[in-house]
Amino acid sequence: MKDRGGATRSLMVLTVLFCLLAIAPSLVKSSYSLFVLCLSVINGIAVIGLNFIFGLTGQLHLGLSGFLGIGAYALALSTTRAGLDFWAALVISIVTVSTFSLLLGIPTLRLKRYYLAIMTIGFGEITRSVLMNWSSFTGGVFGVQNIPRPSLLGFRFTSNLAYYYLLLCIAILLSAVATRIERSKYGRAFKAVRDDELACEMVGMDSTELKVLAFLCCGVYSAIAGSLYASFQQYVSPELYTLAYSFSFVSMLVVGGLGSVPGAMLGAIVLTVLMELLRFLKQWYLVVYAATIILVIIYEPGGIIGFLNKLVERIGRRRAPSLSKEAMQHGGGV
Amino acid sequence: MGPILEIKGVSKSFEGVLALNNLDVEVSEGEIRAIIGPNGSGKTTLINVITGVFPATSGRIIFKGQDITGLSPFRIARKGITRTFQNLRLFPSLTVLEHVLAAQHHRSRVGFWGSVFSTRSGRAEEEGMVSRAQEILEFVGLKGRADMPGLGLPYGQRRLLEIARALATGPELLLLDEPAAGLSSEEIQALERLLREIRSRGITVILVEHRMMLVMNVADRITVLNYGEKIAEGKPAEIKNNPEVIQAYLGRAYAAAGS
Repeated sequence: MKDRGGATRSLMVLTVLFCLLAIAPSLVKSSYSLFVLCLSVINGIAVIGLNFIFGLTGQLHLGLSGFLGIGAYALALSTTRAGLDFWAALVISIVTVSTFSLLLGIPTLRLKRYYLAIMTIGFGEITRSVLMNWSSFTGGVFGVQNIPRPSLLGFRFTSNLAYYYLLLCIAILLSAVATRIERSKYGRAFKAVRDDELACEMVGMDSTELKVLAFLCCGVYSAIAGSLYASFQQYVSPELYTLAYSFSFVSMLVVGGLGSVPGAMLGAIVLTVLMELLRFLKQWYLVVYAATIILVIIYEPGGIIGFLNKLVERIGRRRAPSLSKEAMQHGGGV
Repeated sequence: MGPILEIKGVSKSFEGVLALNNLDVEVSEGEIRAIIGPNGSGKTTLINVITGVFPATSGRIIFKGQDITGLSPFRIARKGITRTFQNLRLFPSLTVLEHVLAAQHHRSRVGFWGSVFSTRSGRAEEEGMVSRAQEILEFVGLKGRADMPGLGLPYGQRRLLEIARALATGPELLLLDEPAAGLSSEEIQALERLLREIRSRGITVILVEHRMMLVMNVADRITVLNYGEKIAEGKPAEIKNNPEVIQAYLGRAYAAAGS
């Protein structure tokens, strides 16, 4: 009916990606590699969340660290202090971050262009500062320790391998939901807002409401990613949640491909792994990391996904030259 | 028929420069009203003020007896007023069909989850929107173009897509800002037919246009602006011979020669 080619292609990339991720633990040997894999999948969930507001709706969100931090701390505190079960705490985390996304989004997203970027930078910094200094509640610089791993039907995900497969299941579920949202009338409306807000309003769309909805989706995904991170490390501390942390997710989305769910996942994996591979460079790793991002933006603004799409089209054209010749002879009578 | 739109004493100034000066215009239901005037006479400003792009400095705008002054653009659109843009504003990442679907978004009723998980009602609504979109595309003459990117269309058809997108909102009043700009003479003839068909569907049209041939052929009445003021109003034949209009367009010498 409409753009079915693009839809199946992105579904195929996602399927291949998750199949590779499913067999990855048997290919890597060290527990350190498994740790990096877990981190990649958690980051992937956060980047899929960021994609709603930045990739699809075009609003630059530089406070993802705030969302992730509040999500992580909501889970950490409600499991360790209130003694709640992981899943109940996850619900609290989602509700908390959603509330913050509405409180921040409703006044800010009425404005157009770059106001969200400025507001969210402030929000992220304030969040870090509160987590750091409200010691009686958050544990201050010492953070929160002994965060439990989840259990399901009597099985406790204590080993990193078990936790990795739990992460993968959640990531598959959330990718599927994100893809459905992107293909729904809301996804279409998000893209229209990104393209031209005034034209949207002229055809009756409430662009503020749509931007707030996309921001809320981002909040829910961030809450889940933040919670999964806290439970994975079983420890959270405030110094992680910096502006640089927010920027790293923006880079992942840009490198993977803005507006694409498989792109978000790919970008998260590639940059998370790259960051770990470059550790031997010590402080110089940031230079290589930054150069990679700059090169991607210059030579492939569509990101890894844009590159893959071009590749598939080129192969498709080479594989069916006789077909296209025939089509030309028949005048391409469409 | 009675007025569908009443512009009452509307002024608009930009940092002291009066773009519209105490303007009174009444548009009747079901007519094609052309608004003409030399460059800078306030035609596009008038469209922007009616559709809420920016508020009037003073005066009232009444649509179907209801005061819509100061409402935000999307609320005005939801009341049944929509427009096209002089410098096209299409959605670069949407296909032709998606443009016309997006314009139906505000009228759709199925909620977020119903749409995301394609419940039976969600699917039925989407199918209804698609078939309505196909019908509108056929109506404006873009049949068979549905799956192209909107910006992949040749220039003249992009103008038609803007009209299709506007029609998809289900307007009662359609404002067209220079829809014939950049079109060939055949395309203008097709546009002329399209405008008549839009009128025959009961949609009132306000047409801001420079191509006088088109204006004289389709307009029921013409309002002439100059320096933000109304200098004449009437049927095409009356306007054609109005000395004040000739003077505004061609200068005093021509007006004297004509009379």
